Amino acid sequence: MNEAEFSFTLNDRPVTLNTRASAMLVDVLRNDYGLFGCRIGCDQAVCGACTVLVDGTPMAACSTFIFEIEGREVTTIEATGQTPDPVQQAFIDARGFQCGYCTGGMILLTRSLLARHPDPDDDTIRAWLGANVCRCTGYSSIIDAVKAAGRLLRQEAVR
Amino acid sequence: MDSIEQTTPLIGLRGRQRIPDFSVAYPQSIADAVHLREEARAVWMAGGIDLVDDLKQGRAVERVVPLSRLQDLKEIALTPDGTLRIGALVTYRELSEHPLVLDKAPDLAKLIGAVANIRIRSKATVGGSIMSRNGAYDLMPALLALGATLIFHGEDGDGASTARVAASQLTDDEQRLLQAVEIPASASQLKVDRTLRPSACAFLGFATKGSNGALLRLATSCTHPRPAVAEVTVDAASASDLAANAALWAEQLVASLPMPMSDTIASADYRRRVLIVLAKRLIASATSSSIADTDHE
Repeated sequence: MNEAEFSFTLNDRPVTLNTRASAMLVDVLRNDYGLFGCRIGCDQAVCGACTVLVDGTPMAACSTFIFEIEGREVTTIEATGQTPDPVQQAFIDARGFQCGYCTGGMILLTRSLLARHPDPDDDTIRAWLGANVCRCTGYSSIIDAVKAAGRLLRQEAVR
Repeated sequence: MDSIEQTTPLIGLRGRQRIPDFSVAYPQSIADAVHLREEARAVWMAGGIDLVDDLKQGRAVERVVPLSRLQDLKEIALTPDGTLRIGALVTYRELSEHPLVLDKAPDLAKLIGAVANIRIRSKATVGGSIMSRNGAYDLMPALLALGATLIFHGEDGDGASTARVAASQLTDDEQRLLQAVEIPASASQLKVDRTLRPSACAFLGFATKGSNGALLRLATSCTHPRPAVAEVTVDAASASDLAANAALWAEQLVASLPMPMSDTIASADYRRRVLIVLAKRLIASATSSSIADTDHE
């Protein structure tokens, strides 16, 4: 076994673990840290259910090795705790989900989008959301949620 | 019954569970990366998009050599003669957003900025895409159409020497470390068109050569196992009437390509016919926009 020690920041908390260099981030998050909001979907970096933010950039945890995140910051959907943040609140208000399986990835992708484009147009939203697949709700309510989240975040920034 | 061929089971062919246990060795330099890969079953890892896919399909690897800490491979710069040099570890995202690329190769930046999705573009690298030799990717045919040159690490292993290879001369046997790609200063316009189903994608490089006419390069993806390219020089007299004879030039370019493949998506004949249609449209479009640019100037 090629085990090694890996250190990174997980949801603002420094962590270190010993594991195989070939371990995938999605398995580490779920099996070692109990962060089951990182879903396993296609296992091909296509569906977006396993999306996490690494240094603020969306990445597919199902196709990212643990050694790739050494020294970096990983954010999962559990990062906000029990109180919904503006993006989560917008998804609730706009009914931007049904079964919820894809929603963690959608919300993290939306956070990254709004960090770069605080007031995105429809084309930009659609281009970014092309990274995540939802089989339940149809996308109009999700797009509405992203727009609402942008408004909430801009209002917060003004205060 | 003995004559019936044993087929591989369809279930469980691909997945994280198939990834073998391997060690990771970070190189300190380009020469070190070359050295570390000399072990049997050692592989370089750029962005990892294709490698992870291969590993999930059961590729046997014992050592992974990530190249991500080699800063020399991440630069985008202009050489003194105006050539655009793009490091092999530049990601698609960096390529599509970098001011130099937006200025010198805007068509390429736009094309790559629309590939796949933000997760893939943040990870996929120029070098990984080229060396995957994947016949369905967009980057290599775009570089072929632009007349790009590949810069490999030299064989003497001292980290200083490099070998230049025209992108059109890349072979399946190439094992050297790709360091950078260069797009010539006289960069062509790049025009792209494709079928809705990915049976044929055409990439046209169009460069006017002043009083010497024009150069047309047609590269393709999804038509051959590897990206293919053909080029034709148009003399000055013919160049002035290029759009009117777009069909003829398109047929000539496609005739210079190897015969396309036949598969469950499309037949070779269909692909060849579609390529002619796509090339004709691109030639007409490129020459009309070139004239418009000239008028505008």
